[in-house]
Amino acid sequence: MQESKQWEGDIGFVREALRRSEAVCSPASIYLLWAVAIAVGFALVDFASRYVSVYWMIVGPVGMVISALLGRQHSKQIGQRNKEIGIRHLLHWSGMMGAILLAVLLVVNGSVSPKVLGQLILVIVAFSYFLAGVHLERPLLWIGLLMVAGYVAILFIHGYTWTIIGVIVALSMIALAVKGGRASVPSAD
Amino acid sequence: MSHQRTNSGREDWNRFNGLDKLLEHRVRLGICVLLARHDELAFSRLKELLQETDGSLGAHLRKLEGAGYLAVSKEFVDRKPVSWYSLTTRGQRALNSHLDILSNLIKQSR
Repeated sequence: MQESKQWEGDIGFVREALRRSEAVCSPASIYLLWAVAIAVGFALVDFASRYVSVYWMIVGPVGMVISALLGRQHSKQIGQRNKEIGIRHLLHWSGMMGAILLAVLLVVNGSVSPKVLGQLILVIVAFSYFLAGVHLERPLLWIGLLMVAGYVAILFIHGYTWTIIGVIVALSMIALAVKGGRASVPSAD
Repeated sequence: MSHQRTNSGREDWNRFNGLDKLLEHRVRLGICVLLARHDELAFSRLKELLQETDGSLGAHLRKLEGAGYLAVSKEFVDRKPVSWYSLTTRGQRALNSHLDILSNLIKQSR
């Protein structure tokens, strides 16, 4: 009985260490990168819509590669490497990119207009963030919900709505970056 | 004295039940469980997660490394030497067996 209590105490100690190890979020730099990309990309819809597709065709994939590199660097700095989590992130965000590419085909074959495509892509991105919040890191869930609200606003409110939504999402991401930065762990040595 | 007797009694009990002697210490068990969850952990990260001192953690890591449960690799991160630890197949096997027995013992004792 006494041994059993001791083992349970040991298991509690290990469980607590495990919980601490799993409370790691993406580095602030990734949040800041996408805050800037979203603020600019969304504003382009209102101010220079002809550049939107070119912008996201470049910024989307390049941003993903930079994010992966920043994530890898962060793992090194905190002293914790987990290939499985890296692969999970890669599959999740690649899936989002794939869904966007498939949605673009709707414009190519004339099923939807570029304007509708923008809204459709916003829904895909919103739910990708929401699901990332469910399965990868919780703060992204709120960004996803914010984008869903933005999608609804874009449907019913006209006049610089994309810019306003982009700024709100970017500010939320900056807030998460600052919060994450404060809670960040010391570097490995 | 009483503490020593308790530890000795526990060791006998563990040996009798087939538990791994090396993993009977909570810190060594913690190291192996953390490394089973994550591919590699740096010394400083283990120290932070387990809230151990350098000396104590180093001693536990050496014991596990000596038994062939851990592999260590050295690397420079931001010009500082970093020791990365990972669980070997032998360590993984020992941990699985230890946890299976421990889980059964806890169930039986309830």
